Amino acid sequence: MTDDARRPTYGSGWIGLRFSRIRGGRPRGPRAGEEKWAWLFIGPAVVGLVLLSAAPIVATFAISLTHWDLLTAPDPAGFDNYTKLLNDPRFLTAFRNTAFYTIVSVPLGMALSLGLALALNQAISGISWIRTMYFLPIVTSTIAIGLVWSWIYSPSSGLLNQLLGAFGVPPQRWVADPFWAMPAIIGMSVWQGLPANTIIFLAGLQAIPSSYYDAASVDGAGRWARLRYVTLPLLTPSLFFTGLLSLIGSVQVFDQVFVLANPGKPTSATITMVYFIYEAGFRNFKMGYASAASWILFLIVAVLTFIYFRSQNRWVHYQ
Amino acid sequence: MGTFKRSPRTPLPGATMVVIALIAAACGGSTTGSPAVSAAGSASASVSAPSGSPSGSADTGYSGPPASLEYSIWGDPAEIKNQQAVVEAFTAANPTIKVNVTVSDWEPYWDKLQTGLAGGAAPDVFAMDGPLGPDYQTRDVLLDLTPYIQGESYDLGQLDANAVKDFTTADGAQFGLPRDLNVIALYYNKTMFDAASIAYPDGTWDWAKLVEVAKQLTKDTNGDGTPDQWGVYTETTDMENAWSSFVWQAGGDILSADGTKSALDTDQAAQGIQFLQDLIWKDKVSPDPAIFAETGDAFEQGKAAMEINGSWLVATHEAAGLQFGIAPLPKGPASQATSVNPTGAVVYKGTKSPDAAWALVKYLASPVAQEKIMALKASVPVNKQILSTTYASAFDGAQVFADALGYAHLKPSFKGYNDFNTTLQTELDENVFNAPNKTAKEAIAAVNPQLNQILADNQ
Amino acid sequence: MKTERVDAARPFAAERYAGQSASRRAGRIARRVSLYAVLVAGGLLMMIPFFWMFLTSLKTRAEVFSAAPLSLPSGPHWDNYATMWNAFGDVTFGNFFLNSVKLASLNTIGQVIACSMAAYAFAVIPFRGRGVIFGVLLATLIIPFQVVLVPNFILWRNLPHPASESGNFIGTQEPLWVGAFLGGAFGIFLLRQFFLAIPVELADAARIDGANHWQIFRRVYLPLARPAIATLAIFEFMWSWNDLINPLIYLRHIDQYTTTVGLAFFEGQFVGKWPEMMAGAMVSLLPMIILFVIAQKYFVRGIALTGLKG
Repeated sequence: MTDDARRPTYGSGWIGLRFSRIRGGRPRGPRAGEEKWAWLFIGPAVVGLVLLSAAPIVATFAISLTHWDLLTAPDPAGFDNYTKLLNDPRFLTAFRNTAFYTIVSVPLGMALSLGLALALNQAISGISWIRTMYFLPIVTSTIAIGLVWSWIYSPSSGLLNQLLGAFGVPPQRWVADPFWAMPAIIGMSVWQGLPANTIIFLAGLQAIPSSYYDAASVDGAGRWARLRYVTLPLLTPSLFFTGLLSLIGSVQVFDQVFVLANPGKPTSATITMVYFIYEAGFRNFKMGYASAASWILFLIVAVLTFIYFRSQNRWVHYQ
Repeated sequence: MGTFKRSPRTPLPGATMVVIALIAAACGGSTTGSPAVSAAGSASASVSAPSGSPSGSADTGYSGPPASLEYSIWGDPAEIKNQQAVVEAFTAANPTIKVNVTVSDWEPYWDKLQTGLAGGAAPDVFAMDGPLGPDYQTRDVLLDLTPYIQGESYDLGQLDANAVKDFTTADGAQFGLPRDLNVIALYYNKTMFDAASIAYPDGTWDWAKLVEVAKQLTKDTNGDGTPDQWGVYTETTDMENAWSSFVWQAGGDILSADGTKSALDTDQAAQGIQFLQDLIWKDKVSPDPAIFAETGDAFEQGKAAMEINGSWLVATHEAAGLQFGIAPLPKGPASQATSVNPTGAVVYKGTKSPDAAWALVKYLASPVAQEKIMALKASVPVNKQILSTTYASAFDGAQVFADALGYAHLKPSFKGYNDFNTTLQTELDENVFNAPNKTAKEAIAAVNPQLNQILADNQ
Repeated sequence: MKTERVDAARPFAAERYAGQSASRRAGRIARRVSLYAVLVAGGLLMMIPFFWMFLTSLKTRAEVFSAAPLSLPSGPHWDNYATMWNAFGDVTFGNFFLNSVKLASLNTIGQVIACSMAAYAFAVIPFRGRGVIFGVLLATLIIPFQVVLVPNFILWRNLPHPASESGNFIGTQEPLWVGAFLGGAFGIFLLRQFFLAIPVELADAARIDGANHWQIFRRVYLPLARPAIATLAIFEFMWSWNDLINPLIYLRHIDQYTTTVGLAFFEGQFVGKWPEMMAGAMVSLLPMIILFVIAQKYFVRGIALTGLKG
């Protein structure tokens, strides 16, 4: 394959999401009869998904233009909810907290998961058992994880304070401290999210044909060179995937806050967007308000996703 | 990052259905029977007007058509079993009514209820927490029980007055009957008191005495700077578990008499909240809330000599193997007071069997059912007859709870309660209880305008 | 440079080190030992909450927080398991367990089938509108589920169901799994990424041999994507298994409930019943562990690719 052929080119598309991306260098359009196949394959998905995404999005937008308490009839309100939101200090705090959470936890989580996946990608005996050990947090009940971490973070006798105390650091209040609360939650979340990303990276690593490594070795590449020139480039599709999903998942963070934040109720330091939405819609009888907040969240993430997808062409290598 | 969250993969038959549903909700106004949404406009069972009086006496005799009810409650497995036993007795007395008990934990209970109400598929009879009643009643999803009460000459006086009041509207309509209630009292660890040779708390105690004894019982046995035994433990995250009682004891109140404005911006109210802050941060007889935030009850763990908390904890403390006693709360500067919070049974306005539902609601407040409910020691009965006879001698300290009803104030109950409570409690948690950043007075001043705004929005 | 045969089963086998100097051999053994040590130590750290769950399930309520979190229980209280199992009146925890297994299995099977097919189309078959539809698909991921809860419920409520008590889908288990057979954004996206990474020459070769898309899908892409499919299966099973809010709002009879709903009862508004809850959680996680162990077989390396030149 020539270099030219390997370099991906891409079609345009006003939302940048058309993937008539050319692989192998030859332009392809739909062949006769191929479209039939395509619709056969994606039929169920289209039924479920086009309707599933269109209907709730449309419904949510419609609801956001009303005042609705779930129990009585909705009351049309124009863009009132949106203007109120942009002036609501609790909403803005939630937005800020969520942004901080996302910016820190996504890169951190990805880097650690990648390292872990590389470490677990050894073909040594017993690796299955070792991997299962690392994957256990996925099945461990969130409540158990929350309790163990609150023990770690406990101001009076927690593990973390004890460890830091050995270095002369005075005991911190962690989750109860407005400054450290979010970083503490991020610590637990990153830990909890490691297995998920690691699994995906591991699957990606497994899918790299060993012939590539053999060829690289023959050419004299050492371990680091193999990592840089074979592993990472071929792993970029997985990196892209987990990056996007981590981004979306972080923006929707909800459970972790419940579990660690002071008895189940987030404070200003820990309230997140989705908690705000949930609280407005299901506790304060303001479903219209909650829907408006969801839409704002949706638009922000959609924009970020769009940018992310456009960046794909620069760094993701498909075959 | 957290684990990925995905939206539930429940497919929708079409965007048109959503629109139709919304329009139907708008046109239909409050839900009646099963809201007809399909294009064919199937007939729905409308709510039958309650019959003047069911045949027979005001007893549990139900003589209507066979009915099937869904009765929804929150609780833990012990409470589930208990309520199922009550329901079985009800079915035995009313063989033509079938009852299916559905249970949830507290938080999901409200999600499920609201989703069900929004979607027109709600339980026939369901449990209602006192403070949250008005939010549902004012949104016209609860059946007005006044016609039944008047028609049968049901005597509301047989139930505790405060509990009944919580389910009465300002115009005197009754939208539910209380089922059980809880009050706040003082638990004390007899072993710790004996070890320090201190007399048990009693009705003569006041705030000063509480602090004095608590100081004697706060001990740092291993010298690490943090006490291992605390004098008194309470929860700071909800007004019920202590600070509302302090506010009333200081002569203040939370809401104005007409319920339209916050009454917290008085010196007395601030004094009540300040007392709690001082217990933690000035007298240091109560732990920093962060210490027991996740692990819960310090008293249950044997780490506190006293606890100011609710009557629902009796069974829990017994299970923990503690030697404990129950005393009234120490008196405040202005008066004795405590908090009472009833749980009631209400009926869904769109139920297909209103008569049967009423029969169940009535039964839950009757002496037979009340005795069963009381046996769990997880709440206090509302039926006065049971309260004054069987309950008072049911266990050591029950008399204290029964007497407390005489000086108890109702936990505030009004439309917009949750919004109000979250705003207020967030400020108190952050700046008064978790860290002494502000005095009670300053914190209240900071948040009072928002509280009044919430109340105004909900009038 | 010599390329060694990787004999996975025998990390310390003599042949591996034959012909090398003693110091180099010692170095390699030392590296391998430290690798194991680090991996196992890290693994143990990851397992701490799991250990906590196990120990707590054997303690009494008073013990749970009065002693150190990882302290041993006084006498292992296996009766907590019995209490938890029988706590629900007419049904046992085993009922919940079976319901969870049924729903999770249906969801996993449905998703694997639907998502792999759709992902193939998005990755391999060029067709008009591909990009737009994929974009709309991604949009599903972004909506927080709390928001679609009510619209979804309203619609299931309006779908007639011949066999249910209420006449519609509320009170049945169907809303909890039917959707899986219509695919999902996560699964499609995941598998599409994997399919895109498979060299297109393989499909070309098969097409030259006269295969149609279905055959290419089954014979070329599916086998190569085993790790990805195993991954999807794990995730889907896990999500379905841990789902609380959907069973809660759609199910009406206690004998339909799943383990998550059952466990939630032990939580309590002000105080929790930890030992019973952790006993239930321990029982609940067994199927997941079994699934992991099975799925590990699919995380196999080195799929032989014939005909590929570097």
